[in-house]
Amino acid sequence: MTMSNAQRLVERIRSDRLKPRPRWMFAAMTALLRLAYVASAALGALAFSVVLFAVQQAEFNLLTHATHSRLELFLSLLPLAWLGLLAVGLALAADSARRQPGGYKIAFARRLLYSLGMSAVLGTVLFVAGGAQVLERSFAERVGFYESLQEKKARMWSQPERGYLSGELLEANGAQLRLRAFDGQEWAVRYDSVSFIAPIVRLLPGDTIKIVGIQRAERAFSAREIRPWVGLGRRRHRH
Amino acid sequence: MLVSKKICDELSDAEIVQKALDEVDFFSCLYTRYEAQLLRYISHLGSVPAAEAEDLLQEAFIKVWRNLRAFNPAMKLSSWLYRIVHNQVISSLRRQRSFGKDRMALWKDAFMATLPADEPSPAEAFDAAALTHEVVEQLPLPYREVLVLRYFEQLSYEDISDILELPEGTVATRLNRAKRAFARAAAHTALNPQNQ
Repeated sequence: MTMSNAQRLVERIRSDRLKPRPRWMFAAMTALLRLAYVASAALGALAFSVVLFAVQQAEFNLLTHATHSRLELFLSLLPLAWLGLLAVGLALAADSARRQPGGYKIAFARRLLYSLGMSAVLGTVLFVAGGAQVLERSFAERVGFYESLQEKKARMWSQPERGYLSGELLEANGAQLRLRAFDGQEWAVRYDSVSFIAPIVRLLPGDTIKIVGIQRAERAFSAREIRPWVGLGRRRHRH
Repeated sequence: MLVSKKICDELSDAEIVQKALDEVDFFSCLYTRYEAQLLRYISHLGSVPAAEAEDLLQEAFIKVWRNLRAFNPAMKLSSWLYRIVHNQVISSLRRQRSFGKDRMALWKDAFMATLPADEPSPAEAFDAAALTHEVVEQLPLPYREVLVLRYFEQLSYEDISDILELPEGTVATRLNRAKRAFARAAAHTALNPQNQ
């Protein structure tokens, strides 16, 4: 009598002593996949928070003449490394969402949107809590080739020929200021009654400020606007 | 000792899975229940000779057995079985690059084997089916698999979504494209009434 295929299968299972894999193995796999999703979303959130921080720091509205075009300005200040990291985090999160039980039922675009939403919410919380600044700074300290947001900003605000000057205030004497730019050179800065001085700026020696105006001569600058170096209400004075 | 067909027939898929975890003989119920339709699916998707299709099914069922505790009862067992068999066939197809040397001859054997023995095999029926299959064969795998699952296996979009692990919308889109690709490929064959 010939053996049926069903018999053949059961005989093989018996002779090879094949056992169903234990339930804990599948539970562990599911937990690992969940962890991968959370880790990917967290990576996206970290990147998102730094992107927010970068946008806040960039102050695009003030730097309208810093470059030839708005696009050039945008590209020069864009935190490309963090945007790249955000993209990687989102792609990983969308992919690991597909691997969750039943995750394949959700379309890729929607998975990407959910991941973006989660990264945006967590990233905003991190940004508001001040974590983005800490993260960005420690990244800049540890990664040699990385140009920090502060370095980028300093570069953009060290173009007196284009009307942007910044540095540490050394002395304030009436409408005359003495400023040490980030490259170490000293500048004489003049302002008048029509110049805008942000209310937060006290013009005390040691303050770090940024100025919009016109270069009048070698190391001489006329200020149209004087603002604190750290904008949007985040004051930081050096004393 | 295998479980009798009568006992198998009285059990639901979920009950068979539960009983098989306690007593392996009950696993034969599952195999017997789905053997014919899964063999047919293998032959449609992969154009393999009967013996090879049986081997593929055996290998797939070993995987089913090893992963039996991973089965999610929220899903139809048949869809889960199709998925495992599908993956087995696809990896086998990828391993055998020289597979398509005489696929029509192989498929003809498989087709003949599925015909009831007491009925004569109508040449016209075979010709149309063979030609349809030949056209489907020319299509890229993503199109072929949805066409086979939808029209040869008569499965719903939801089942196809579970088998191929794709969103239902993607299944629908792919099916539409597959139908258009099929129509283009069939336009120059005898399947087109204008060519007869």
